[in-house]
Amino acid sequence: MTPRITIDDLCFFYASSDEKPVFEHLSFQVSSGQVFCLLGPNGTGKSTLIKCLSGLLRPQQGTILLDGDDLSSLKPSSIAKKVGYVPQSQFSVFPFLVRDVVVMGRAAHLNNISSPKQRDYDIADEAIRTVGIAHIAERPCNNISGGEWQLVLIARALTQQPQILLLDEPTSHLDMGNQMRILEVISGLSRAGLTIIMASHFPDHAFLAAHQAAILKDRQFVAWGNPDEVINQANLQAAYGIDVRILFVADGVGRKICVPLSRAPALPG
Amino acid sequence: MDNAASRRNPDPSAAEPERRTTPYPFMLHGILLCVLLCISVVSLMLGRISIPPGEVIRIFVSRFASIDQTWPSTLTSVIWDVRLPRLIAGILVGSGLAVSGSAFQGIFRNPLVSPHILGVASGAGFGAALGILLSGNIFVIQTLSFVFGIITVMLTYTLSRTYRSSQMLVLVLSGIIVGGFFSALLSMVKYIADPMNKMPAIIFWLLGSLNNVSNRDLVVATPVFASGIIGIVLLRWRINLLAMGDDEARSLGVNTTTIRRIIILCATIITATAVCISGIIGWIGLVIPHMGRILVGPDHRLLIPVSALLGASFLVLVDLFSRTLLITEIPIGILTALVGAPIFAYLLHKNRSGW
Repeated sequence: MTPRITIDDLCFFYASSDEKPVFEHLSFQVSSGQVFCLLGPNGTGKSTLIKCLSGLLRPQQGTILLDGDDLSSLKPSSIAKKVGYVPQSQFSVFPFLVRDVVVMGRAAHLNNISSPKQRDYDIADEAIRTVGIAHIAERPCNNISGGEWQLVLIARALTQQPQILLLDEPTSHLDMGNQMRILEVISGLSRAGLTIIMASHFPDHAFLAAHQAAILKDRQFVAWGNPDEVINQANLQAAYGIDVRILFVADGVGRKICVPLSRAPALPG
Repeated sequence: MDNAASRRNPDPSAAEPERRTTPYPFMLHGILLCVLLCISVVSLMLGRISIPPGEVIRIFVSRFASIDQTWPSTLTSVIWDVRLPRLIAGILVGSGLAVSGSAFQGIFRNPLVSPHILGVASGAGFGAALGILLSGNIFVIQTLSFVFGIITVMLTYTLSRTYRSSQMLVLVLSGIIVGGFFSALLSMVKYIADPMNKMPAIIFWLLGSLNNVSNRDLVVATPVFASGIIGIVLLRWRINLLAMGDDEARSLGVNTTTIRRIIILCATIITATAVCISGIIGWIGLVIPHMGRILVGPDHRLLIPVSALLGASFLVLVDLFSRTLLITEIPIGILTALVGAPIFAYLLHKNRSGW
């Protein structure tokens, strides 16, 4: 399979801090229909990497190719037609209706002085049905739950009709029911051919939904590849600094799970 | 995994959202337009000389068709040279400030922002005071007022660009810095102005009034107001996008810097022109958008036109009170604050749950 997005030797540092880069020499590819799960401890640069891939931040070194086109040479509206970005959930200041938020995904397809037409609303409604939030389409967007809001943001990104979906911790702050619902939506979208890159705090999510996983720590990938190989005891211990066990649960589950343990086995007592 | 698909598409009949684009509230617009029309007619009738409504209409018609003149010709002059320019100025300034306020509250993502947030009032006030101090010629006063209003916002904008992060917050802070500086310059001008005639002139001017608007002013000001308002009206859906935050809007493909710059430019020429023909009139740009949101919700596609109609009605009505309540005219800036502050307090109380 040809890669949909290719990252080569990527390096980024914030201009204000003259210290070390957030990450350097990152290289990886993701193909059509694949889910890439980006793991790593807090503050390690997962969101920064996602923002670089969405064109919001400009890396100082390295290239990002979308279907062979250099991301830095594309206009924001051209990027938005290829890449949908689902930010970390932040509620809207104004209580726009859910449908009106979702239709904002059409911005890149409309010129500056146009408003969305019936056709754009049709596309938005389709995205609303895809993620299963039709029942709240007419509700003000600050009158819905955190899980529903995350689905609204995914629907808005789908309304852009992108080939690549970037999700920045789509399951943070959600209860486990909503986490599973979001992951099911993500799996469904990847089966429909979308390339998905998501940052996550939960290694389990890589087992559940991802084809590839990578662990970012200290400016580098600790590991990158198949989730079964990447998510092992040694790598998670190195990344998160705690003892971890990976168990295979056979009975009616049939997958691996991560069990974090208290600090390190060396602790006295 | 196979129940994932069915969960995403639950019972299709229940999932089918009712198809529509946001319905346009023609009815509401009609009502607001009628309200504005009624207030306008009343404002033409009332004043030091009362003119009955039939007379007002006949005076209007006589401009375009020859009918028998049954009224003293001074009334024609009262309508055409005094009350009509004042009415038009009220409509322009009121709708302009309300539209700018709605746009600013949207792009700053803050319902407590007014069009004066970037310091335009301090700058334009200083310009006008300087004009009064130096010459007293109305043309000089208005030109300096407009120029300094624009300069202030340009300084604010340039200052904010020197910082990289959280642009909108820095823009507000820059507005406070530059506005504060020009307020100090304004105080300086007041302090050195001749206390017998120049200083009172400055103070009256700053309190705001539609009294001095002439037909000549309107010929210049109308196209400026119109272009600013049209600019914001054309970009009204983009204001929704900017209201979601800079990163989100950019990731949706919006060129946020350009759009924001155009909106700030439009709002600034509106506000600077408003200050230069009518002095500093506060509260409209803050309160009217809130009233608009109560009527049509936060969507700027609906809010911007409704704000324009509400703002125009509000200012014409307040101006009517300012010139009829007492024998002498009450400066309109005082009245908009006296009326606006309690209204705002009431709206805050009523709207506690959200904007």
